[in-house]
Amino acid sequence: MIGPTLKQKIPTLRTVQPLAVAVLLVVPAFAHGQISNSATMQIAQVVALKASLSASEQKLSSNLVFASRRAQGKQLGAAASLTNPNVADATGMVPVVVRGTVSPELLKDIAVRGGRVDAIAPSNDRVEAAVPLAQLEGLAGRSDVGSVRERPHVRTNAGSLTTQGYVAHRAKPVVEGDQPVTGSGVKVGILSDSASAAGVAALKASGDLGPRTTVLAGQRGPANGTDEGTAMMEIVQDIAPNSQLFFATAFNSEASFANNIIALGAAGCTVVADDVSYSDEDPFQDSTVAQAVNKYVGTGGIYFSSAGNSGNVTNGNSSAWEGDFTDGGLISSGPIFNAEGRRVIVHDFGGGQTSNQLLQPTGVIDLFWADPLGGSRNDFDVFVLDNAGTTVKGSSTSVQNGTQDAYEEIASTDLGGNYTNPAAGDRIVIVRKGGSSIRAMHVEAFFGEVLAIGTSGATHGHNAGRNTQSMAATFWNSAHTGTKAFNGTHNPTEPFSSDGPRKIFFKTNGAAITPGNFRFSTNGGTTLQKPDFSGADGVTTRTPGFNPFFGTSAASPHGAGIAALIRSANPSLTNTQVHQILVNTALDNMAPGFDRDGGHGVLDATAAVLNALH
Amino acid sequence: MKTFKSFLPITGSLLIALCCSAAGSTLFETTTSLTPSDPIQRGRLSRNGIPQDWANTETFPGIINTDVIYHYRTFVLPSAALAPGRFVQISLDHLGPVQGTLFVSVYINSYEPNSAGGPNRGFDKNWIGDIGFSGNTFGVDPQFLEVLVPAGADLVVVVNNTDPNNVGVGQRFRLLVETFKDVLFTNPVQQAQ
Repeated sequence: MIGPTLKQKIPTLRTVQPLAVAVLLVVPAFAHGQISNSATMQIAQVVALKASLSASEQKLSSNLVFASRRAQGKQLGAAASLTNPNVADATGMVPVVVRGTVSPELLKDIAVRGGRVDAIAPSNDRVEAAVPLAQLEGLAGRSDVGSVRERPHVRTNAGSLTTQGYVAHRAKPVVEGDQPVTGSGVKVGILSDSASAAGVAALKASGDLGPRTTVLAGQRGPANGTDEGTAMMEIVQDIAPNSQLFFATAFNSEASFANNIIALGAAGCTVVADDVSYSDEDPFQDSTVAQAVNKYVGTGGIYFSSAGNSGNVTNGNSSAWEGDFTDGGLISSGPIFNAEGRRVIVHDFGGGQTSNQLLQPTGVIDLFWADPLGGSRNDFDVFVLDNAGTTVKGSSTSVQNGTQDAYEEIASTDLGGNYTNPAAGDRIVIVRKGGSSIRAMHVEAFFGEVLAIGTSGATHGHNAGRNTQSMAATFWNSAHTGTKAFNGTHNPTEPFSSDGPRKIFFKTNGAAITPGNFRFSTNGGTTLQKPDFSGADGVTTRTPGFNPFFGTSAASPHGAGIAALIRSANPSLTNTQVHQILVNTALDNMAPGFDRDGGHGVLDATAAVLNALH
Repeated sequence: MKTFKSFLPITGSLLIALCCSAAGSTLFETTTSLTPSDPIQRGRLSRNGIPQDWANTETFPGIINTDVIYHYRTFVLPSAALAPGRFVQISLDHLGPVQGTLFVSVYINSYEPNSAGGPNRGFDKNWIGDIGFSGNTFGVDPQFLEVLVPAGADLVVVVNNTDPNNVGVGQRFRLLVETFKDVLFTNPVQQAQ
């Protein structure tokens, strides 16, 4: 049924020409040469395709719609060039995220369809599964399924090495003092990509990891992992040498990551730290991992995470843009859109700039807006054009009509998406479907590549969650004085460290914090002061490949080690009290007082432990 | 901070003699640059991206560009100046203005480039480590390496330029040498000579 409908509604290039002329007339920004007529036509054709989707297809991400239609021999029109033929693996299975209400019936149906369930999020609203390509549309058609999309992409937040942080954070006087506090009695959990059997064994043998270091059963992480979790554990062991370390991977999948946070808590870890980000973590509401952090912190634990290495405004290298959607011109005045009854409006990034250039090539571009998870009724799409603004190189045009997340992702073809030949100078374009409301937006290059027009607010997701101790990074020798204690004043954050603050608009349950107000410009939602603290990076570890160990990935375990010292010094303290001690004793760095780059400042283990004891 | 008396002999080596008792880890610190009158070598160590550490992770990186002339300067720290554990950490802060044109390597007792045949031409004699990279990390973070100096051996820190035609000569850098008793960065006790 879809094929004939498409034939009727997808015009040939000739019929689209008048549209291009019309667009030129109504969109002044096009005169700047950012988006050419041909690119505008391609955008229009791809967007027009959305109106022809079946109800089931509307729950599939656009990339999966294209792949599904291609597999069924159905017409794709202009989207044909944006279809990745390799979405499914060699056996025809597609790894997906199914959002909705998880029940035994849903799980059984996935199995009946020849699929496989890999993980279920503790929030019971997300299943990670592998499903035959031909079964995607049918699965999406279930009433308990809100959306089906590709698996998100994952990163750790490391650049690349015992830690000089032992001196810089003043842990040494605590651990080696007359009344030593060593982390004894405290279990610390680490989540990262991997902790290989060989890597952990080697460090146990050299004394760099304690003999009781434990990897949860089956949770070492992928065999091709980098052992970054081992390096993180090594840092905690250096700071709090008698703490007992646990590891579980965060790299199997996002739901598995969330489950492992809970599992580390169940193993008795009262301090947990990670350094991982998933590309679909929502900036404006707690999603799967942040919800697991909330649950863990609710049991009394304290949770640390890397803020991210996505740059910041202070250094002019942000990989994120945040702000309200701004009308940059109507591009829906042609016959296609009249026929479709749709209008699409292009976003103005500021000063008439209707595109935002990538200054470095990126493999993943993500767009979020302020709608509740699983309930977005405002439809935005994202495109990436070439430098000249003449060719659409990638797109994400999923439907949002009430059951989906407010999320679009463009991935390069080698990462399963439709973005061909990513290059520096490519342009990000955001469009809004007519009738959709203005919302706060967040767009980013997921792996930290710099945008020409960047803003603050790079840190997001559970990395900047309300219950997360979000760690920025400062080089151990940032004062350029050698191995000395941090003093704050001379310890700027690393140029790549992700900045805050973090604006959120929804409570965990999806309820609006400020009903009816979902914009930055009208001070909607609430602002979380993130990151919280600064920790050391660029330190020496014994784990191969992490000498030195740069990135906020290294800062996170420094924070965890210091929290372990506090909990060891005074086990009766609540997690809220531990947090407050860290706030009270941090050494102010960057701008005076709390700031978006270094948070409350650089952690001071000696001051914190003394505070905990008195 | 320790204070030292130092002098620059005509050989291009800076011999550092301990003159006073002091506390703290800093053994030697200088801000300077290579000059055209510094000694020359043909060829240089390859930058393998691995800074030496106290676990002796790095192996000799090999040499390259044996037909190219580079300038170098040595900074000799006598064995008696080192803390009892002989754990040494060396930082190089590239002050520029051009980054990435200087390199640090560390030897014991003597530096003898081009003194032998074979693939390494003497660069490997007495070598105990190098810094692996050139230029401050991210343009701002000083590079560093760690070496464990054998008992009784003098420490020889070598700074050379890394590009032909004297590129790197004249670039300012700050060299900081710290000494510790152990792997936990324990400062040496008060010393006197």
